[in-house]
Amino acid sequence: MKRIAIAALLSIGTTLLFSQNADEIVRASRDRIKSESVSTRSRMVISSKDGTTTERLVDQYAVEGPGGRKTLIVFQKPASVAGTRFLTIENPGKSDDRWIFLPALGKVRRVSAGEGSGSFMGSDFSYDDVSSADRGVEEDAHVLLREEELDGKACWVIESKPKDSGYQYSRMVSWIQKDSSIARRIEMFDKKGALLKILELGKIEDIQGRLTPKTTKMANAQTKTSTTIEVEILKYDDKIPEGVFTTRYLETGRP
Amino acid sequence: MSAIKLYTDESNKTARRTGSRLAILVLAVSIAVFAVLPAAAEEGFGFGDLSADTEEVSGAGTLAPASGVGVAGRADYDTTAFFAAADAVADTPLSGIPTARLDFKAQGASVDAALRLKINEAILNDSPESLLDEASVRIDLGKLDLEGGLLKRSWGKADNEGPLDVLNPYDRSDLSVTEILDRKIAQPMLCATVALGSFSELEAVFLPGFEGHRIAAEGIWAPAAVRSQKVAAKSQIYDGLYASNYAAAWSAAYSAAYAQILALNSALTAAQASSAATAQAELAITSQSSAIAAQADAAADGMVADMLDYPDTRTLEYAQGGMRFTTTLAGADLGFQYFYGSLPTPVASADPGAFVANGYRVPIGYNRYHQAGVDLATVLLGLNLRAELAANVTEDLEGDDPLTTNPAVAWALGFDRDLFAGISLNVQGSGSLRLLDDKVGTGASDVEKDTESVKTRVLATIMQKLLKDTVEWKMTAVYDVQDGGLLLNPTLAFIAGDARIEAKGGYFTGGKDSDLGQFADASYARISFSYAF
Repeated sequence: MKRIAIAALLSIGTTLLFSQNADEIVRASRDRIKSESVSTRSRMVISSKDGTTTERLVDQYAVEGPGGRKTLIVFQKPASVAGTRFLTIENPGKSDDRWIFLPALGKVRRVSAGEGSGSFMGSDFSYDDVSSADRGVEEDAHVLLREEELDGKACWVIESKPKDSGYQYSRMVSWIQKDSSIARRIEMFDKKGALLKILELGKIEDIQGRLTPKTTKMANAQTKTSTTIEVEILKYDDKIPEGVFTTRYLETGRP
Repeated sequence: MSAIKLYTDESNKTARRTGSRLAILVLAVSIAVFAVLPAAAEEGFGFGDLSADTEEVSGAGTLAPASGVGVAGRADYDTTAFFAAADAVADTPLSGIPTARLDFKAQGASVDAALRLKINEAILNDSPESLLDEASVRIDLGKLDLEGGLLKRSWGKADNEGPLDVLNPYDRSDLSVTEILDRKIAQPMLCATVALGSFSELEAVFLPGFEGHRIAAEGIWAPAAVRSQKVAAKSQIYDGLYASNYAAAWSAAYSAAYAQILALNSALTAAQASSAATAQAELAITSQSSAIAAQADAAADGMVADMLDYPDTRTLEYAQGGMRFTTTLAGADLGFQYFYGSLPTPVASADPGAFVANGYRVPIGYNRYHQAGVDLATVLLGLNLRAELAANVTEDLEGDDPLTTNPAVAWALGFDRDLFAGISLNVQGSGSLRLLDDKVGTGASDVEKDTESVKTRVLATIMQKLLKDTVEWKMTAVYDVQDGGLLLNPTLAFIAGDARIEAKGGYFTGGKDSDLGQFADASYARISFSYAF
């Protein structure tokens, strides 16, 4: 009886130790890049089941501030949505402020966060997927499942289960590269536990002293579609005028 | 007796021609003023706007200021079938209209200019002055932004024709045009905007003239009131003309034909004359009376068009102006505005005494008014809420001036929300409440007599994007609560990159007397192809 109790305690202790390690690994992965601002121009290629593709070209400017992150997204292509601008201002402890400027409407509109599981620009990414890099470590329960190699790189394999049952996935499994803390692959499972999406990051480059994946591919295992984001230009710590993150900029395109 | 709301093509053309000249003048003044102002220091950042021809620079990874010259645009072709105009599907008349829009944009360190041309056969043939859809120059002086030209500018928060959106009139001569910016008519104006912090600004706008809503004077989109009043007026004029001016001519033609019969009778035998001469005489009479009737008809048409006496509204007498302050406070966007201008719907008395006293002409007027308004946008329970409230104060403060509409309160309240599976819902209610309503109709010919004092319109749109945004369906319903008029607009679109194929319908119902139901004969189906570049 005493042996069983000791074994149980050891088991719980081991789990706690692994989960604590897992938390630290995930935190290190998400906090890996320190930067005051990030500017990117990305080409999004959406592939349908039959192999046909459509493209989007999107610019994104983000700054970190004491009041939270501010992000501006400018849609450049296709021409039918060119000129659409989307601004998000995080408010710690409160809901984010979000506005969109639609050229067809000719005015700025305040919008809510919308449906997190909804498709982002018709891609295989959901809104939650897009912001997953900023997801709080404490929002999921993390467990280190094993250690194994992925594409010749030693990785930790970590399972993350959302504490909020309303989240779109039941669990996520991540392969985090040991020597760089880059999450190279994440598998996402639906509410029924079936594999839904696979996220893969590649083409790692050193940009301004930071190891940065320039290719992100999200494949939907159920619909057999995929979306690849190629970062064409990326710059850290670019000086972005404060006036960019205003509704006036959304409307006029001038800071 | 009620308000006459006729609007002729001729008055539209005159307004547009004068408007274009005024726009060019405003544009020239803008350029002259802006040219001598010091340019603000440009804070260059980012990758530039692709429409400004900066892709090559950006591709090299240079963080260049957005500058350059760019051309964008759209080519459309649509075919429309109006089912009520045919007895059978095979006989359904089709109309096809290719349209091109070209946007030219030049952007410098502190100045940018934009020019939009809209080209199609109807514009080229009937109103070449409308080729210039928008033209503007804007200068960035740091906290101060100056803009002038022929502009479409939106005030207020409502998505669809909110009461605070007062700067541009709407083109209602084709109700199958449903995009709000396509319906707006650009106006010459000068604007100054001062930034007061990151999320507050004060805007002042001056419009040197005025133009009312455009309403079709004839054809399938002419309101029933316009058509019936036009027909009644024409009928009266025709009868009068025929009786007074053409009776003698007709009588002379008949007399001549009768004389011919007599002459033939004397020359031929009675048997021959009775058949040949009578047929010949009848042909002559018919031919001559048709010609006389056509002359009377044309004369009546001309008189109907001429009897409406539109004022020249492109003068400083009709100048308009306003100020608008917007800010963000505790998760809500707020706007406050004041505007002084003219109501866009024309009014005229149908008092027969006044008609005669004015030399058989109907003077058309536009009521001046002050507007004070407030608007709000916020997010509540996941709903993107928008609201507007306006007080429109005309000069009829007693409510009994027959040629001036009463003061009114106008409002709009709406929301949109993403539901599930990419489905989104947008609902807007709007309306107006006439004040001093008990005084309406006490005058001899009040322009608001027999009109509703409360108007409420509900507009709802549900839409879904499918298959990676390559398929989109949408259903829009517009319902007028007081008169029961209803419009349904179903749309199905296929999107392939920059190309779009769209099938759209418009179904009007709800009774011939309702604002929407009167267009039941204009229910249509349309297929359109467009390519944006």
